[in-house]
Amino acid sequence: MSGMRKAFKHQPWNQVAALRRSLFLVLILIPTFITSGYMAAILPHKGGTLLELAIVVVFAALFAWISIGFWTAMLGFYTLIRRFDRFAIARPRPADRKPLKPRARTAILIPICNEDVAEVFARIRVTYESLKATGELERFAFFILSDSANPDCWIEEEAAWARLREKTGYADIHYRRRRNNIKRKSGNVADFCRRWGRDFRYMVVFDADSIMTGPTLVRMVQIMERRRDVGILQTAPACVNRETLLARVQQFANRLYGPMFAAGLHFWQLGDAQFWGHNAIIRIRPFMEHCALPRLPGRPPLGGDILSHDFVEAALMRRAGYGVWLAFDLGGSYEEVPPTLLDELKRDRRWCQGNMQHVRLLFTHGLFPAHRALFLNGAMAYVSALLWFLFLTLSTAEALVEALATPTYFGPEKALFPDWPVWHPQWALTLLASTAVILFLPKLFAIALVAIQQRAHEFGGLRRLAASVLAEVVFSTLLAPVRMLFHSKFVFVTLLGGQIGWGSQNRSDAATTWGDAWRFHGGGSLLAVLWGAVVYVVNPSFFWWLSPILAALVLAVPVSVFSSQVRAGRAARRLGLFLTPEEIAPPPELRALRQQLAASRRSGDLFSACPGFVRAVVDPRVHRLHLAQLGAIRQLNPTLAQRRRELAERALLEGPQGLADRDKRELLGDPGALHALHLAVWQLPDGEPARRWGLPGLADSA
Amino acid sequence: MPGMDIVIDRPTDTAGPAWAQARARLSLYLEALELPEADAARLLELALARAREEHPAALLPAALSALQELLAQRLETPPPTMPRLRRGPMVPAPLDRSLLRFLLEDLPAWLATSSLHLLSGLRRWPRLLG
Repeated sequence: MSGMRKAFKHQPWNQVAALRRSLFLVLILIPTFITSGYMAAILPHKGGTLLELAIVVVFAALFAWISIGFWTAMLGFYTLIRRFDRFAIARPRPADRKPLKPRARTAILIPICNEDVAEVFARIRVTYESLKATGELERFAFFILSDSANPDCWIEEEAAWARLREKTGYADIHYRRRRNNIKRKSGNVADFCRRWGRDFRYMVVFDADSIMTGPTLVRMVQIMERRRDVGILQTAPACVNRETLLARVQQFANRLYGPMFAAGLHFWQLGDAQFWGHNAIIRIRPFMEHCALPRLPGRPPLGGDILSHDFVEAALMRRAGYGVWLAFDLGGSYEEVPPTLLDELKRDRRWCQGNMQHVRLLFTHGLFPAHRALFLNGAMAYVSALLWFLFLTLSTAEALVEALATPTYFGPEKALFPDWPVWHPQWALTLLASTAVILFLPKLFAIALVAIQQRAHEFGGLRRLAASVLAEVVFSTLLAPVRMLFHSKFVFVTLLGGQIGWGSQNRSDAATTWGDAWRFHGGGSLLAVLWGAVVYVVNPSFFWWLSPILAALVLAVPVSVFSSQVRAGRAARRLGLFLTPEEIAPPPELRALRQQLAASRRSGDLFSACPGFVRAVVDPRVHRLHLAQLGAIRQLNPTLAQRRRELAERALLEGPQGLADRDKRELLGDPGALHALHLAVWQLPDGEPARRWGLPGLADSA
Repeated sequence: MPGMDIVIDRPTDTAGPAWAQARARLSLYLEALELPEADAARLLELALARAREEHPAALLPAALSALQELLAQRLETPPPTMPRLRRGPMVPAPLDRSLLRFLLEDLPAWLATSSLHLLSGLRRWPRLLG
């Protein structure tokens, strides 16, 4: 271990963390033990059969899992209601008021991959302007790190970067596109570190949809300057800006319950917090020394590149002796949520595979126990779905067996009294009620917290807030079984070795079509109908216990379509439902973002409507810019030169639509071929071929 | 053209229309460059004059080529997208995932440290919750 680790090993928070985690564990394990015993007592054979034993074990795992969330929320409530935690890392200190030292240089990294270019650059501009207003801009540099393979995106990014630099006049905004996106985002960040990391003390990693305000960025650097033992400082981003119904529900839940959960996480994690991959500041030197990610032995999905890199980087940073902290009370950090259920599930599929890989790192030498627990916790986020599915299946099997099998009143051993299989529905109702308390009480506490803090107006007033929570409960009840089914499938597929693509995320408010919804949810709905029919015929009383879950699965298609609509989201807003503080009183940065986006969509130079590749070929400004980035024309071997010539001739003859993306990338990477094509296109005499390139034909213009 | 030439069929005997076409196309080119109007007009006339003088039979390609030369002298090269490299190593260390080592080293060490922290922490239990 490094010297730093020894220096930072015995921090005052370590002892408090041990105490808090012990308390947390007790709070989870004792109720889990009691309720599991109760569960066994409810079952007809008191947990005496193999099937019932399995039910009790799965129930215990699930109850412990939901208890983690419950107690995290409760401890968060406690922390926030006291308005004080001596270990809160963002608590203002007098030393933080000093201006940043020149050596505290910070790189803001924006890794992107085939994103909406206008939106990405509008967000960067907003962050830039906000930072400029703090007077500390010179301590920061922006690095847009692209992994975009789409040729249109590539060129649009370049053009947008040049425009941004021109408009801001700030030279420390940089753009780089990698030709090979090895290790995806983590590889992109690591590439930055290897090339320019030594120029900076810190880096703030963004996602494509991140926005952070200037004061928050400056504050984060100040905290890192004061606390040399901190390796990663994570903020709790607020979800904003989306308008579909699902996204608005998620945003509402994030803004109402999120702060409580974040404070709760801080309570028991302290300096062993998670890194969520973005909206966080990282100390570069230890990151470069200790957090490079190796490949896992074996083939994907569980081997190969580590996909969910953030948890692992946090664990390695902590192993190196540096703390990882969650600044739960630091505002000015925003992100966006997936707009539709299908987009959310696609994202979850990637995360599922990444989190499942972490189980293989559970016994890695030198990791701190809290991070091993976080690895397990991350995997449980998806495995719990499979356990729930298993619980439902086992319960159904039990119900069917009880209905169909002839009861055995006297076993092989002699007994005075028969063994009656007894089922107490009222006991089951009590257990159901206690589970509901665990699930829903945090929501009531969140309302209470907002009321006590006199912040109800930020959610549209207490009545609207209560109505929104009620609607959110209905909504999440409808979605939970759908998510359960998908997550179970993801875990199952991952365990069986199925691979998952890692494409870019849809960040636009595009609604789900009925066809797509049926394709994705139809199977689940049919399964629910069949499941319900069999249970209803064999054991009608058990059917009613299952009915809320089955109904949600049957309704999945319309719910998925309806929740993906912007119209539905706006209607809910008109009714005063799911309002968030950022919707009621948008902060200046979010207002500026809207203006930026409107301006970028309005501004149209001659070729701005053309796809990026066409602009690189035709638009003289973009063409010049792109050639400058490629550097000098290289001498190619005759075969390659011939191939490029043929490509350019085909492009000229058939227009841009005659080329595949791979061909376009090849031309875009060859300055000689591209410039020849540029000149040739500008000489096209005929109307139609010229029009294919966005030019009026000579005949038209003459 | 360095490296390659793409040949296009075009009429060579169109002194009048060819002139108008070359002018229109070059005007569009300069408009796309968003140059100040006076500069654009001057560059246009210069390029066309040079083309008429040197290659009257292929007015448009000659004018475009002349314009490229004029622009190269007049316009600044766009700035580089990235700063100068300052390389540093970032090499992944192999992860030792041995269960045996975990059981023999990490687990006992963790139990010892946790107990120590817990015991010393208990002495300051009021700090537990705040």
